[in-house]
Amino acid sequence: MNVSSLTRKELAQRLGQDGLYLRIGFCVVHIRSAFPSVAHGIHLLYADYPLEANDSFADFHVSIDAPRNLRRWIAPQVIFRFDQYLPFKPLPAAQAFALFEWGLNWCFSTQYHRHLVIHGAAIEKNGRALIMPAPPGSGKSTLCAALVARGWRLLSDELSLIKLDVLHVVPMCRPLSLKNESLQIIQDFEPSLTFGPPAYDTSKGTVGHMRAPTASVLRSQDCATPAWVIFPKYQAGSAAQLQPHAKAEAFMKIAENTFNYSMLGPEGFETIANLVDCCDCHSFTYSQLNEAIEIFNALAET
Amino acid sequence: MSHNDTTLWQANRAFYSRSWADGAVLYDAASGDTHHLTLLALQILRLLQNDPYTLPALSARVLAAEANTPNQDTIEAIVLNLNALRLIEPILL
Repeated sequence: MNVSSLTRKELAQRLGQDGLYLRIGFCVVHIRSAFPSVAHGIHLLYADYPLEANDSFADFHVSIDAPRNLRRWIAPQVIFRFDQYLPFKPLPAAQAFALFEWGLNWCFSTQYHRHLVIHGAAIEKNGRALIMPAPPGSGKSTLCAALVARGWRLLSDELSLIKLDVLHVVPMCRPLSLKNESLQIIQDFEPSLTFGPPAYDTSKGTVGHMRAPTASVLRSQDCATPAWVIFPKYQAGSAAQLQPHAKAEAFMKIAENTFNYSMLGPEGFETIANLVDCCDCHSFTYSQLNEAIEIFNALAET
Repeated sequence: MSHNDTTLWQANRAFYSRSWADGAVLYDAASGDTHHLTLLALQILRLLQNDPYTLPALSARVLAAEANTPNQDTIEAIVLNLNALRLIEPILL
């Protein structure tokens, strides 16, 4: 049974009562929320995702609720709960779905230590994975969205998961988060893509989420072998340029962008070192998505 | 603490390291720190893991082994850097 087997009304009812056991790749998230915008976002952007039976094992139990304070009458707010813990301050209620997505990112980046968790996108072609570790603002999600719109499989947008023992990239295929100008750029780039309603005036500006391609969601349990690590950088007006990157420096950059590197200790060190060993490392600057896609497609054919 | 040519240096901690043609990285399990090193620095560290050396003896050993012969000042600077990073230490006699 998938999310799409429920009507939006049924989905909202389940979310508001016992909650939804949503399978995302190898992980199950138990979600509760009475916010219609959360039900709408899940119905629209998670339509292809399987649902597990109620009371299944869940890796994370989360809820998106209205705080019980006086502000609910004048400026309604929303809070994210993880096992009854509140990792964030309340946000305006209009940002409920965005908070759900950010909250899930927080769950994976702070709790999911069975894998190396890199801040970066991962995509796949011909069985080989390309990982793009990058800090916010580097243009990684825009590039990832464009590549996915042109046939690359989405493994993950925000967090790349690497298996510690066999060094596979583990899919964690979720909606892609796009900010500000990137939203319009990708909507213009591929008008057939589906987007959730944008959240305005967030701490990151305007944020919108793009639905992951069905083909990627259906392969959410197919891991991929890492082949490339690419550090992308959007640079206005620049020609697309792919250059080899020194491996030791690549290691340091990956470690800087890994949430649980310190937590994993020697295992984290060995995993990143093995990743650098088996991948070609490059830096990549771009300004035009079509140029970037041409270069990445050529790389996938090598 | 001042050091001289008779100071014996040693590396007595467990490290995890990996090297490539362009450099090396090292994880210090005791501190949890990760360092980006030159290949020469990693070579010196490994020598000091096996045996303690004075600076002149270490220089002679490295100069004998290295094709791209570094000068003694470079080796001394590396030793002092490794000491500053607490990856090696002088043996107190």
